[in-house]
Order: sequence, then structure tokens, then C-alpha cells
Amino acid sequence: MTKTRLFYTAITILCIVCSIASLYIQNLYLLRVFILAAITAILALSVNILVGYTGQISLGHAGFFGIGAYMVGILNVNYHLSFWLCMVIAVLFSGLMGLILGLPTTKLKGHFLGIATLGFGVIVNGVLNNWMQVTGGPQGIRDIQSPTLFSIPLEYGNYFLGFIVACLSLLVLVIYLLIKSPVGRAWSCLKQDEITAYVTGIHVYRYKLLAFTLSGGIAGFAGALFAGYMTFISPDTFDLNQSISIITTVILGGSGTIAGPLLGTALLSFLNEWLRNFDELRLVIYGVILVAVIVFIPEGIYPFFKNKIISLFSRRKRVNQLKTSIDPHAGKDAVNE
Amino acid sequence: MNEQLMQVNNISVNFGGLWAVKSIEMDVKKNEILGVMGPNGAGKSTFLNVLSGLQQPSEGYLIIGTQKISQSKPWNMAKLGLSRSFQTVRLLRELNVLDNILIGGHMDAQKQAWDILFRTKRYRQKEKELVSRADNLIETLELSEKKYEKISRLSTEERRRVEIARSLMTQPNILLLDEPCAGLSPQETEEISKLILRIKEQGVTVILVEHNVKMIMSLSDRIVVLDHGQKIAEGTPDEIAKHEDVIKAYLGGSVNA
Amino acid sequence: MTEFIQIIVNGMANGALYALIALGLTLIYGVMNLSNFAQGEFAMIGAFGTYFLMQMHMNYMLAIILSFIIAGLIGFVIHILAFHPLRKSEPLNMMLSSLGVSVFLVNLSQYLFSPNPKVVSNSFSEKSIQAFGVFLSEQRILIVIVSLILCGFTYWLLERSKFGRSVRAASLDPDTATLYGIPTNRIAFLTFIFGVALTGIAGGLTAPIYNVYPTMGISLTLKAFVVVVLGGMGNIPGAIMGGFIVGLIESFSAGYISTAFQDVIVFSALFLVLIIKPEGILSKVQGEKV
Ligand SMILES: Nc1ncnc2c1ncn2[C@@H]1O[C@H](COP(=O)(O)OP(=O)(O)O)[C@@H](O)[C@H]1O
Ligand SMILES: [Mg+2]
Repeated sequence: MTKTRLFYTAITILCIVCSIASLYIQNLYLLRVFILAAITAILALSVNILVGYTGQISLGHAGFFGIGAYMVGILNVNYHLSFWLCMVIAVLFSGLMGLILGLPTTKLKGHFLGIATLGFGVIVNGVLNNWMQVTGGPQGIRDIQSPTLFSIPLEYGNYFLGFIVACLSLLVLVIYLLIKSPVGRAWSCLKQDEITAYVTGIHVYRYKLLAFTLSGGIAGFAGALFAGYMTFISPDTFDLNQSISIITTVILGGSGTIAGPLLGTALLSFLNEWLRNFDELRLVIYGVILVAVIVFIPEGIYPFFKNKIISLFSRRKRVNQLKTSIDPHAGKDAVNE
Repeated sequence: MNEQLMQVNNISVNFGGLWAVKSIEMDVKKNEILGVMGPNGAGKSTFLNVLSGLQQPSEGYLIIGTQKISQSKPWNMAKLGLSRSFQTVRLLRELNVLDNILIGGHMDAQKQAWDILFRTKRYRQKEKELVSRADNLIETLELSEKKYEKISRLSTEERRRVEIARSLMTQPNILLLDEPCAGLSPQETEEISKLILRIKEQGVTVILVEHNVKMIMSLSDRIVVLDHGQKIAEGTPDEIAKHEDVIKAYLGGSVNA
Repeated sequence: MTEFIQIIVNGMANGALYALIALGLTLIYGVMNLSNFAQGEFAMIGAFGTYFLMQMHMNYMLAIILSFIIAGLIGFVIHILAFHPLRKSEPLNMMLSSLGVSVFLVNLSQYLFSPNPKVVSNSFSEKSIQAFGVFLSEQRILIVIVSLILCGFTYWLLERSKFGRSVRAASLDPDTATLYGIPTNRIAFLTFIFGVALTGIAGGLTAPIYNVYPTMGISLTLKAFVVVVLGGMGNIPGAIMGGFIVGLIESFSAGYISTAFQDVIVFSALFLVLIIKPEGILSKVQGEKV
């Protein structure tokens, strides 16, 4: 319990410091980069619930992101509901979509699941692009109302950043509490060995569905924030590239950890801005870096450096690692004859 | 003593034409060690898979308490009080011993969103209780020194014990053990045998699948013998040792305890 | 009625192309356990190859054959750099690596050749045969014939040749195959190169109809994946069937509903299949042994 309390305190302090610091950023460009990075971080955490904690792939997360953003856009602009109400509806609805997508796909594994979720993303994007009457088609939706929080207008970047940092911290806390609970234990069990999960009484499909629902809802939340910040949304933000970029962020950073996706977001956001110097070669270099990182650090950047640092600072650990590498039982468990 | 816990009715499993298990009937009584023996490929593991819900029977049903069960999901079987170990140990290699055993506490844990998010009092109490239960098991199974050790660093025998501890953590009525001594030395086998007797003393019924004739003969109260998926004999160890079909099935192998 | 037949014919031509690409995809999946998201980019490479060779006044058929080799060579280099080092790592990592390769190839060709579509015209693309009031473009007929021949050839290769036996052994059980002295690494290499080279031909075939541009491979990859899921992973007759099914669904939805919703309908069909029969239409079930 003390560990939880420590984490809780650390997050609270970090949250307060960041929120206050965000009020003093003068550079508008920097402000925008930070806000978008925070939204990406929320997305990355949502994908991490699927990929990192339950071992399911999602190649269609831009779909949930888009559904969240468009729910806010449509309800706010066409039906004049307040932003906050729209946001709640958006989160619930994209969570529901997660549940619906999960119903057939939790029975699928690996590549099939990847392709099915990818299909989901393509379908959502197709609908956003072509259902003119409702989504405005490729032109998208304009003039979404900026939210106001207790009479603080969030249309000012500084306030929005402070708000979104608070949201992100809260989310980190919730995810931490979740994975350090019986739910998290069940997830880690079914990720590593489904059959063990079966015989210990874990309702595997229900827990996978829970992950899908939460993940969809959180991505929808990111979408709602995006709509509120940009006040303009169009389908090309929510395409296959977006889905791929989200899962890449998670895996590069280190899936299955909390710090991994956050670190991945920070690095890739920075990389993206830096690569703007290269103009047309930007995405070419991006592709090369992506492949290089996966080839050289397949476990993800955060776990890689964490292990490096741990083994640097503790001799005992190094000796232990030596022991593991000569472990006679280290072979893969053969499936039973 | 002779209260019936589970009744197995005409269970059959067909794998694309091959009857791995054919029309098996048996009763499982409270607080006994029921041995299931038979040569390799006799269908013992498949039978356990049916009991634990991992394999749906092609025919037949089980009666547990008053419930009739013909097709059931594994998590429901676990809730009905059946827990098992595997012929090849199944543990989460990346986690330590304590965490692996805690997985077995899943069904009892506090899982409401409210409790988890606010770490309510009853949540904390429950978690504490689960950990102390796991600690007790670790102690009784003599794993104290390895409590925080990763599974990938344990010996085969230790892994077997961790798996049994995880099964016991679910607080089963019936514990299914699939060849718990496969790949162990005679001393280690002896240790596990003692452990099984101790488990029985705690009031848990054990269905013991074993290849090792000597061990199963000495431990079991009753024995069922399978061959080619069919039950060829049932009785006390003494009766089984004299049974002609059993001797034939083991063809020259010594059946005498 | 003629419109109906026209739609079927167009669907068959696209379907044959998809089958050819899916064939490469499913071979690579079977042996390397890699969902290759860069598969369509090799069609793009083949198409650009064909385009530039024809700019040099090369005969179309010869250009297509050379584009097989070009795609194979580029595949060789990419396999060494992006996939071979990951052969022991998780399938998810290989998949991500292929996404990186895809981003790289698309944007590199955008940088080198500009995003504008390039027109390839050959002796077939203008002409069409008229039969029963239906116009059959010769190019589409060529696509169907060449694709089916290549599918048949691959089938023969797998079923009859020594190479094919090794490929099948490696995809069924790599560990055992290694024990029996089958060089699984080399087989993985050859399969990858052959798989992407086949896709290179598909690119050359589609060039005269749909033009040549850097992003052309992306939708081909997606369609090929749908085909593979419909037909069952690692199943050649399944890939051909699946190819025709996807081609027909696509051209019917374009003909009778709307071109815009084409992809949505194709993927909805995919979902339907996954819900009803998750292992694919034509595959046999393989349970996990406990
Ligand atoms: N999943 C399966 N698919 C097909 N056949 C199986 C499967 N599982 C077991 N079998 C077959 O069923 C028979 C019984 O196997 P099993 O129950 O493992 O025997 P035992 O545990 O008694 O050695 C064997 O012939 C085995 O090959
Ligand atoms: Mg067995």
C-alpha cells in the first residue's frame, strides 16, 4: 500500500508542478506541441491497455479517436450541447464502440486481430469521409466551441495545457490503480498464458472486453479533447497513419509499462518536430528510425534503458542475470504431450 | 466420509474419429484420493481437460452437487471448485512465486471498480487476506526461500509445487493433478507424495493422474484404470494390482505396489 | 444485364490481382510469421519499374518480367536489414518493422518520383474485345490469365518441388524442420523474395489500368489482408477464392451502391466472416493442445 501512496503523491506533485509551469510558457508554437503531445500520450496509454496489458493488437485506434472527436463536433455544432456533456457522451459512446468491436474480436488472436481492428479503423474513416449529411465529409466540422472550466476559458493554450496535464495525470493514476489490482493481475495472466487464466477462474473474454471498452473510451476522451482544442476536425486526422503512429509510439516506448508510452510520446513528438527541418525527407527518415529502433531495441526504449541503468548500479543484479542466462530450465515450456 | 462430490456420466471425447475418451463413468467421493492410471495416450489428460472445462465432451455430462453440466466454460468449472495442475507446468515465467500464487486468488478478490479506484477498506482487507493466504501456502509448500524468485529460476520440482500452490489458492473442492511427478527424481517424487497426502488431510479431494504405478498404488484410496480411452478397471489398489486386464494393459510392467 | 456482366468481369480482374498479392502475403506469413504491411509497396515498386522500363522503350511483357526481378532484389535488401535481424523476436515487432518499411518506401518514392500519377500505356490497355455486348479490356484479360498462371505455378512449386516441401515443413513446424536439416533461415529468405517479387508482377499488371503513384500500394495491402483472412492464412486455393470474392464485392458495391463506400463494405464483409468463422472460410480448425 505504501508504494501506491508514494505513486499517488508523486503524480499529484508532478501534476501540480506541470499545470503551474504550463501557465508560464510564452511560446505559442511550443504550447501547441505540448498540448498535442499530451493528447497523443492519452492515446498511447489507451492503446497500451490493449497491447501492453492484455496482449491484444489494435491497428484501428484512430477509429475511437475519431469517434470521440466527431461525437463532440456533431453534438456541439449541430445540437448545441455544452462541451462537457458532449465529452461525456463521446467517452461513453466510444467505450461502447470498443465493447462492440471487442465482441467478435476478443476471440481472435495475433494477426487476425490486427487485421480486424485495422478494418475497424478503415470503416470509421470511410464513414467520416463519406457520410456527408452528418460528418461534413472531407471538409470536416468547423467552429466547435472551446470549453470553459469553472469560468476559466480553455481556448487559451496555457489553460488548456494545464487542464490536459491534469487529465493525463489522473489517467495515469487510474491506470496504475487498475493494473495493481486483481483486474491487472487477471490481465497480465491472460496476456502471458490464457490457459492458466482459464483454470484459475478468470473469465477471459470478459476481461478482454473490459480492456477493449476502457481503451476505446479513453481514446474517445482524447478525441473529445482534440476537438475541444482544435475547434476544427476533419477525417484525415483519423486515418490508418494515425492508428499506426499510435501503436508505434507505444511499442517504441515500451509496451506494458506506464512510463513507456509516455516516453515514446515525448520522443516521437520531439522527433516529428525536429524532422520538419528535413521537409520532404521527413517521413523517409521517420521510417528508417522506426525500423532501426525495432531492430536494435525490440523490447522498447524505456525497458531497455531501465535494465541498462539497473545493471549499471547494482552488481547483485548483474550476477543474477548471469545466473538466468545459464538456467537449465530456461527453455520454452513444451506443450503437453 | 462417503459423500459423493461429483459424478461422471458417460463422458466421451472424439478427436476427428479417434475416441480419446470413451464412455467413462465414475463417482468421486469426498475426501479421497482417486487415482487415474493408464499407459501413455490412454486419455488421462484429455479426461482431466474435460473435468476442468478446457475440452468440451462429445457426449456425456458431469453432476457436481445438484448441477448437471454437459458443456461448460473453464472459468465456471473453477467456480464450481475444480482446480488443476498440468502435465507440463503452466506458470507465468516472468512473475515471481508470490504473484503466481496470487493469480489463484482471483475468484475471491474484490473487483468492483469503486473498490479498486478508491482502495476502500474492504478492498485492502481482502488483498491483505489473499496475500496472507498465499504466504501460508508458500510456507506449507516449503517455498519460503523462493517467495520473490522468478519462475524461470526455479527447478522443475519447485515449479510443480508452485503450480499446486496456485491451484490450492482457488480453494478447490477437487484438486486435479496431471502427472505431478513427471520428470522428477525418486526423492522429489517422495516429497510430492507427502505433499499430496497432506492436501488430503486438509479435506481436499484429489484426482491424481499418474504414470508412476508405485506411487499411485501407495497414495490412492481408489483407482480407475484407463486404456485406449476406456475404463478397464476400478477398485482399491489391491484389487487393481490383481486385475487381469490391467496387467495385460501394462504388459509385463510390475503392478505390485 | 450487360452492366451486371461488366461488373463481374471487372471484379474478376481485380480479384485475380488481389489473389496474386495475397499469395505472396500468405506465403511470407506462413514461413516467417510476419504480417507484412509493406507487401503493397512492392506492387508499387513493380509498377514504377514497369513504367521506367517502358519509358526506355522496352516491351511491356519484358518490363513486367524485369519488375519481378527488381522487386525481388529490393526485397532481398529489405529482408536483410529489416526482417532477418528480428527472426527470433515477437511477431508484433516484425509487423511494426514492416510498417516502418512501408512508410519508408512510400515516402522515398514520393520524394524521388513526385506524388503525381504516371500513365502507362501498352498495346493492351487501349484495346478491348466485344462479346455479347460486353466490353472486355484486353489488359484485364491479361491480368486474369497471368495471375492465375502464377498462382498455379506457385501451387505446383509448393506441392511438387523440393523447395516447396521445405517451405511447407518450415511453415508447419520450424523447429522440427530445422532438426531435419532444412535450412529454415534460407527458406525464409527465399520465400520473402519470391513473395514480394510476385507482388512486383501484380504492380506491373495493374499499372496500365490504375496508373502508377507512390501511395498505390497501401490499399492493395489492405485488400490482400482481407483476402488472406477470408481464405485462411497459408492457403493458396483459399487465397484465389478470397481474391475473387473481394474483387466481386468491391465491384458490385462500386456498381450498385457507391464507390466511396467500397472499402467500408469490403471490411464489413471481413467482419462478418470473422464473426461467423474466425479461421477463414476455407481453412481447417487447429485447436491448441493442452
Ligand atoms: N487436441 C488433440 N487433438 C487430437 N488428438 C488429441 C488431442 N489431445 C490428445 N489427443 C489424442 O488423444 C489421445 C489421448 O491423449 P492424452 O489424453 O494426452 O493421453 P495421456 O494423458 O493418457 O497420455 C492420444 O492418442 C492423443 O494423441
Ligand atoms: Mg497426459
